Amino acid sequence: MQESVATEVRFRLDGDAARDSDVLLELRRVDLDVAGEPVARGLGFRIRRGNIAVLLGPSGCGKTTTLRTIAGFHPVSQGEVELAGQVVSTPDSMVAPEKRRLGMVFQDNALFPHLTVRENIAFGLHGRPPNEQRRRVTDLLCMINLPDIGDRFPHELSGGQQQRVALARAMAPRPSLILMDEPFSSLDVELRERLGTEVHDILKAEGITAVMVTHDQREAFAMADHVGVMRDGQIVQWDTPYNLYHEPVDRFVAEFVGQGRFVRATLLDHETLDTEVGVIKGNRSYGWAKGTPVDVLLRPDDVQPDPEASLRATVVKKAFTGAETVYTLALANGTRILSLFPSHHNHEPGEEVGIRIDAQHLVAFPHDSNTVESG
Amino acid sequence: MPEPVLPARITRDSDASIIRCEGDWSLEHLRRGLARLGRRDQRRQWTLDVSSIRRLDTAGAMLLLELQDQLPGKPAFDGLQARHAALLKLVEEHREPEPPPRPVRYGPLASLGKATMDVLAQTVAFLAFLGEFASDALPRLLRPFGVRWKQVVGEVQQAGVHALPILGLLSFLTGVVIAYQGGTPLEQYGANILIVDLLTITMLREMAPLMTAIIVAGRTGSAYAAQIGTMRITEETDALRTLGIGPLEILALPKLLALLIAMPLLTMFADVLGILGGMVVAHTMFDVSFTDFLNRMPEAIAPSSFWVGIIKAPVFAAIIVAVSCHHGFAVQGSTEAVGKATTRSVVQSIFLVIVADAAFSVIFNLLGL
Repeated sequence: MQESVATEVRFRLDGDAARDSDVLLELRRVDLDVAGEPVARGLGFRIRRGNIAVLLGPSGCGKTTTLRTIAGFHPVSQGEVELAGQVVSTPDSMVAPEKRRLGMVFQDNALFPHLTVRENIAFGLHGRPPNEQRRRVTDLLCMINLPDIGDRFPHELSGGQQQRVALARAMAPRPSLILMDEPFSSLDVELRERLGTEVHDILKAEGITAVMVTHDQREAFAMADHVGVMRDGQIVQWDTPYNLYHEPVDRFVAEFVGQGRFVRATLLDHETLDTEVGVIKGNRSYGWAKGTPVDVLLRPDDVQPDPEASLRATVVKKAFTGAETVYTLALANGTRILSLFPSHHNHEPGEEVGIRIDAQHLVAFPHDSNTVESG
Repeated sequence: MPEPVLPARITRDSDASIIRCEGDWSLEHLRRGLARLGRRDQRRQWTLDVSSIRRLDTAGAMLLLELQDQLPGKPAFDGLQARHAALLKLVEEHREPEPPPRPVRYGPLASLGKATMDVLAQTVAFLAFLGEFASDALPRLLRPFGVRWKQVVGEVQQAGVHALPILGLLSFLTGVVIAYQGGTPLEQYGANILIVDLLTITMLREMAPLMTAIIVAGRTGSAYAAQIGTMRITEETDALRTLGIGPLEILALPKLLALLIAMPLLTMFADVLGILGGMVVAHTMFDVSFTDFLNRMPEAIAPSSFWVGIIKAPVFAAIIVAVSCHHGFAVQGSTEAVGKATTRSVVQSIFLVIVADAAFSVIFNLLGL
């Protein structure tokens, strides 16, 4: 089942209209092992020049190993990696990382502590004329919006600044590809998203191709043109963030990407579902037979407040995020759903509220008794 | 009024084959080894009576399940109260499927074999590193403009100039000790002047190069291993590679060149200070004046003695750099590994230096030097 999904993804990508010269990086049926244990199987994807791709997955899914393989630190057990038209990794041979002309941003920035910011950024420019080096470093410092920190040492900078300097250092020699290994994971949540957007803009402005690895879905969505969701060493879905959110291929992707809860439903006809929150006619058709029990994914933004509605639910928990509040609501039969209310709808736990389901585009999977929460 | 404490207890009724669990099976009232049964008990059929358990929490439930696992045939819980049943079921569903396997204990012979194989593997790894280093360094040395001389100078400063005070002091004291210890028996024969021969030959041929190597291994070799090891942990070595710079080129080669330059010079410095120390003792204790001492010196030693000492220095330098860089680059995982690598690099470089020194003695003897 897993296997077939990955293969399907691959074929869809192969069928892509990308001309070969547009493709910067391609992995073909790559297997990876660490210390004899399989870490990834049958990985295949292509990244075009100028695109930003993100590998998203829970820890231990093999995404970092995949990134290190692209960088040339890790050998492939099967398959091959092609970078800029050159096969760089096969089971028998491997181009060294220092010969691959790529930049990498590490989880803990890996700046050289005894060098100033300028010297750090200029490190990869060794051997070029001093004038050119100086100009490039100044340009990069402006680009990362920190023009005045050139003479400071890494430990004098904040975590976000350090990570931006690390990006500048990786970009300095104008690599064809930048790899980022959970670059924002040591930063706090707000900074993470802001920096994600900022880095996205910098990469786009420079037209740099990038592959990032993260377990944080918001970070991934802030950065990516395409996201590959990985689980147990395989790519489950390779798609745009919009499609991942709205068309997850399976339950795992649906739950991993974005918030949401499943409610039980029965198929009335190919477009209509009889759910725990009422009968919903969607705008897509389902392939299962009439009467099939299914689980329907309700995203928080599918559930809206409506004081007049006959559908009532009890507030269990609220999480105030500013403009909106995410409420955990319990239906009469105990099923819990999430709901996004504008912040002026203020309710306390225990209160009963009226809700309306505002969703046409419902994702459903065959019923699985293990995953529906009913508590 | 607080409830009286009723610690968790197990009583065995061997005649009726009943194990009774009683009391509060909650975290604070459990004790270690409570549910551990003897081998003999594990072979019998028991009834597991849990009806008198007063309180149960997840820790207690875990322990109960463990107890049940040890009993043959996994007897059901007898008299389980309804209020405990739900918790027990929940814990049973969510506990780790199998306890982690106990680490295998090796017998003495197996341990010896394992240790031997480890040593062999380490040797192979060291040789592999040497090969990699050599194949990286030799082409670079043929194009000397590409070598990072600025780094080399910095390393000479660190490893050479900064080592002068400590090396000077220790060599001086070594000279003092040799002159003092050697002078006493010589004085009995009235051959005081032979202190000069004794001292110069020992210092120049053996002590000065060896002292230098030991100090450099302890001071500089350990620093090399720690520096490179730390860079491995912080992924700085990986960062170097993605910037198109080989870590050997920038970390190992300048260190090798620096020690190749610094160690012969340090050895000469140790020669001078050691002889100076001996001279002071000879003058004050054994009536050999400075003038006599210096006049005697050219007669006492052939110039070859001096060169024999100096020629060892670059070899020792290469050993120290190779061993410490090898251990530095072999660091993986945690910061703890850095400490281990540092210790190992010092011990192994001193070991190899002394082995090499012994080899030199044999070779020089054969060559008649």
